[in-house]
Amino acid sequence: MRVVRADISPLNVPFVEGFAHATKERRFSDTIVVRVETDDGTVGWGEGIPRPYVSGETVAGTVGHLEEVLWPRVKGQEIREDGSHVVLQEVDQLLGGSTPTDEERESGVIAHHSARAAMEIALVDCALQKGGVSLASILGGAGHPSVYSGVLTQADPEKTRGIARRFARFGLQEFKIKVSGPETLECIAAAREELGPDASLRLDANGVWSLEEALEFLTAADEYDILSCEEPLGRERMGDLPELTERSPIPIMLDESLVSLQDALWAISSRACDHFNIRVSKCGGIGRTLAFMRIASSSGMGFQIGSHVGETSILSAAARHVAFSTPEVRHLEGSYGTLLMADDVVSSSVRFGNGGRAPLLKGPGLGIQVEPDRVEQWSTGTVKLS
Amino acid sequence: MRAWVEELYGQHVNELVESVEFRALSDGSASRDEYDEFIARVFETHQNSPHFLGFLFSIASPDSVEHLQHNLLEELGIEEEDGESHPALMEKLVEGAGLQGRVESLRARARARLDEQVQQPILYGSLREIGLSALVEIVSFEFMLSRVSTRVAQFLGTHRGISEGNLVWFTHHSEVDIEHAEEGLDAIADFITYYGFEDEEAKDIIHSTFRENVFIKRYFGVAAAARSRGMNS
Repeated sequence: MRVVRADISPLNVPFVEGFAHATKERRFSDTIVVRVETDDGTVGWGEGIPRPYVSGETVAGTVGHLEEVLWPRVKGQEIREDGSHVVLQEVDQLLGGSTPTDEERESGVIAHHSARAAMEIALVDCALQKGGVSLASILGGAGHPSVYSGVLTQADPEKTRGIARRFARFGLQEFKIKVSGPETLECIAAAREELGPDASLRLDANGVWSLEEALEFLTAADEYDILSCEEPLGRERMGDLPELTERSPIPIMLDESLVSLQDALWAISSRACDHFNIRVSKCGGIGRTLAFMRIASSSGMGFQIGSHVGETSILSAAARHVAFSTPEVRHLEGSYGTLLMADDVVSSSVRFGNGGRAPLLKGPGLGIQVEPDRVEQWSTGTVKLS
Repeated sequence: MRAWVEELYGQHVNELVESVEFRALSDGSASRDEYDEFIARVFETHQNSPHFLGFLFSIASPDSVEHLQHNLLEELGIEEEDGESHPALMEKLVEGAGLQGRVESLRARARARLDEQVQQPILYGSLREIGLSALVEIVSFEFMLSRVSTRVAQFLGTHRGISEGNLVWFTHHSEVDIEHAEEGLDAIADFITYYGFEDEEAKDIIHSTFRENVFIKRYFGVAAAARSRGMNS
């Protein structure tokens, strides 16, 4: 079957409550949903979340890249319909590289990964829908369920305590807290006190610290039994990561500084971290995410599958298939559905349930039912390509 | 706890009546389509009420069984010999607006929403917590209707031209829901006591239930509810 149409829909889905971290407060989602259709009417859905502070991508730039670069590579191309696992490699080859031009690089684009992820997921979903095969099954059966973590928005200590307690009432046992200045140490203390000694706590600084600030904060936070701290320094201070990783009492996890496979290889060879936070959109799609996981696994690097604030069930479903494919995933984030967003674009939510547990999605492709009316409702302007 | 819940309900009702959408319906500046959409959403929202009341009845605390049984029978229209079910009264409302052609699609939408709610993974660990969350949401609508349904009946009559006979669902609620709302608040207090909730635990569950304004969300849609909290920009 040949790819004949694509709709690119940037969505603004409002949140139920605002969500803040060290560099941004969000009140609605900024995400891009891609719908592809083949000449026999088979439809696939994908999603990517451009974030200037992660891959350097903007919503407008991502729509442009999808329209002007990826669609010409995909339009009229044959995609297999037998549900074979090789579809991932074939789609990967079809989409090609995601390296920015010199001009784009100068404007801050690191890689066009969210654009690539949106198109790749849609094509893979489409191929597997036609073949009647679930994504889980081509990833080896996806028989390794992980539980989801709760992520606590940056807030004052009392608010943090309340949010942590309400999450704990959902039976969650794993948590990540957004931190920034020294005052947020009190938030960690409040969360630890509220959640008790058995809950696992991780931190995420979203790259706001210098080496000295990071060492000071992490040394002080060590008394709260913290599993890891994500993105302490930011991409512009990556050179300090090996020293921080060596001196920090808390293991270091890379996120925004881990966008390309080159980043991953550098981090491993430089001993620049202890863990990777691997996210499907940030990494450029399902195939690339699996590549990050293989690199981490072969080098003994721990990793988690993270999420993007404001992702719909499309991206959450893709991440779940990937995460459930191996027992090596240390932590899993996302699938917040309407816990975070006021609406979703699917008829049956993939949100996790009590204890952060969630079922394997067994239907063909991503195993979800996207509702086009809902996509249209939240779209800020769909680009239709044929 | 009863007073705390009542205050929370009051805040949400105020937010509803102060919303741009409700004020436009009240002062007659809304378009005919906006009145019709409001009627359609009210119909859709309350179509599933007997189902939810049936669920609450099954887990009610002993002191609240009688009240919930009364509500359920009244909702089904079988408490009195000549009673009409509330879904039937809702159909009168829709017919009064000339929207009977939409009844089937609205029923289907309500059914789809019920299916979605039933199939959604459950966040709480037991029916005790789910029951409290469902109870406070259902009683909140009784509370709200006891305070605004007369106003709604008036503006639908004045600005949309719906006859009194077709507005029975609202006039009925304005009369009986003051009592229902009071009994509902008692039922919440009973439920909390009977199932051994600590105040903080009950407040957390109620807080999680009312993170959004459920009235604006159901009667005017997700986008309106988001706008009312500034979540759209």
